[in-house]
Amino acid sequence: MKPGIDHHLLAIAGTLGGKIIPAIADGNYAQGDARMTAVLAVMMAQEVDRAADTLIGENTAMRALFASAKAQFAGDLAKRLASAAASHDDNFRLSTLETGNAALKTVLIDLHAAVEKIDSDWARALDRDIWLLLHKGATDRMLFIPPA
Amino acid sequence: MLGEEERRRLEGHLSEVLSADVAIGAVKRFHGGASRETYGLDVTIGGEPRGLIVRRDPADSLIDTERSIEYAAYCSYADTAVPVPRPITLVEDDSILGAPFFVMERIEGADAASPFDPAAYGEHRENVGKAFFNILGLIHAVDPATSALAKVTVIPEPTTCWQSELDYWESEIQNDALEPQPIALAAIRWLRRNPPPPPKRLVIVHGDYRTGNVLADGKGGISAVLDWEMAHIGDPHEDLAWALDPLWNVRDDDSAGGLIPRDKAIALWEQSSGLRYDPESFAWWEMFATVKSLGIWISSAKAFADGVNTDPILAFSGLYTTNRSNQIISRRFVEQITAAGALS
Repeated sequence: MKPGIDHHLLAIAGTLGGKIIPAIADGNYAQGDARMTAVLAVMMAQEVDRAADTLIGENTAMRALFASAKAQFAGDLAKRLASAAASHDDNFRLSTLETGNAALKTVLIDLHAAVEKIDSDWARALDRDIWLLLHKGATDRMLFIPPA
Repeated sequence: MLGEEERRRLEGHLSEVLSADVAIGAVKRFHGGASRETYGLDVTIGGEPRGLIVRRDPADSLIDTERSIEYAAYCSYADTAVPVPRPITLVEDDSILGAPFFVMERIEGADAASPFDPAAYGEHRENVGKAFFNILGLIHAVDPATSALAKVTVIPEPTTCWQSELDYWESEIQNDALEPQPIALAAIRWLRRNPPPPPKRLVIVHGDYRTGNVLADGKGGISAVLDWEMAHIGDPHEDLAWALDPLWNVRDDDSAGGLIPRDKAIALWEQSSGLRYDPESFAWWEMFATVKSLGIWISSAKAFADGVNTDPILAFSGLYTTNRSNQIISRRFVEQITAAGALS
């Protein structure tokens, strides 16, 4: 298989670490910038292969959550939940998925704030489901710092 | 870097402040320190070689704070058991270096370690950990009312000191977020629903007390506590919770800052501060600490995205640490729900 974007980013990091950083005088501010840029390139390599998958998974999970929650609410929030649940991503470009993700999260924030005010078993269950979704999203986005 | 004209003006200013001829030699800018530009200066003062540090305001920073606060914090500990560099001069206008700055002495033979390096401090890790939490207690043992810091900042009411901090960081998150922040906002709602008990006494809060903001002497000791730009007067649990935030524990949940066990760290802090650990108060400040860290990372991401400050450290802060802080908060809530029995 041909080298992917992640491969090229790792190659950039390798060039920075193996050739460019050693050529910059110790103590020069640019050395720190180059080192941090290499770290960022390694992190981007981790992110680039999975980013669309993370967003598609999270967007799908939020729509499913809204679809199951909408019957519990009335008025504007119910309408927004129904609309968000029926929405879809026009394509799988990261910019499109990010825009959709932001729109869905705006609804999620309002749903979560509403749920917290309700004292009932279904609301507690929904609160639990929201936190599990949020925790999965944060964990799926975790990056690992390469060793120095 | 400092230009020739800036050097000349700084030499003149330092000569006046120190009542001796000051000549500036080599100048080195330190990497990191995104809240201020930090320069190390080799100087002669009356012919004697010395090292100085200049902290100058950048175009934008991770943290928007008054340099007078940071300078006053150094002054507050200049003659105490808390190791800090001796502050020398504060200039709050643009006349000398084109931006406000202050100067302090340089601590020689000591280094700051990365807060994300599990091998930092090597064989001295435990001793550095003991010194770290002992010094945190010493910071909190100083009477804030008579400190230099009290002259440039407000002394809050114990019952509401949490509120002003939370208001500030919520505002930073609301103003600077580039995308919706469901985790931060849910945590803020929780913090407002569950205010902490007032502290038994107010203290000077460092505001960013963590590994990475102290200079270790390479022998197991700490030579200096740096980066006081977020110092204020408040609840001592704020600093303790910040120092114990999982972000700094290099993925070892039982350790404090990746240095020593948490219970040992808390005991050392209690001993040197004369304060008692309050689990209820700590739980609130622990959540606040992670929200505050999110505020810093969100602001840094905005500064980077806007092109106001393109230092790659801001990109890192907005990327890695934002994810990590979101993960820490959400895990905390999942664990709370599990403990309450609502999670089957």
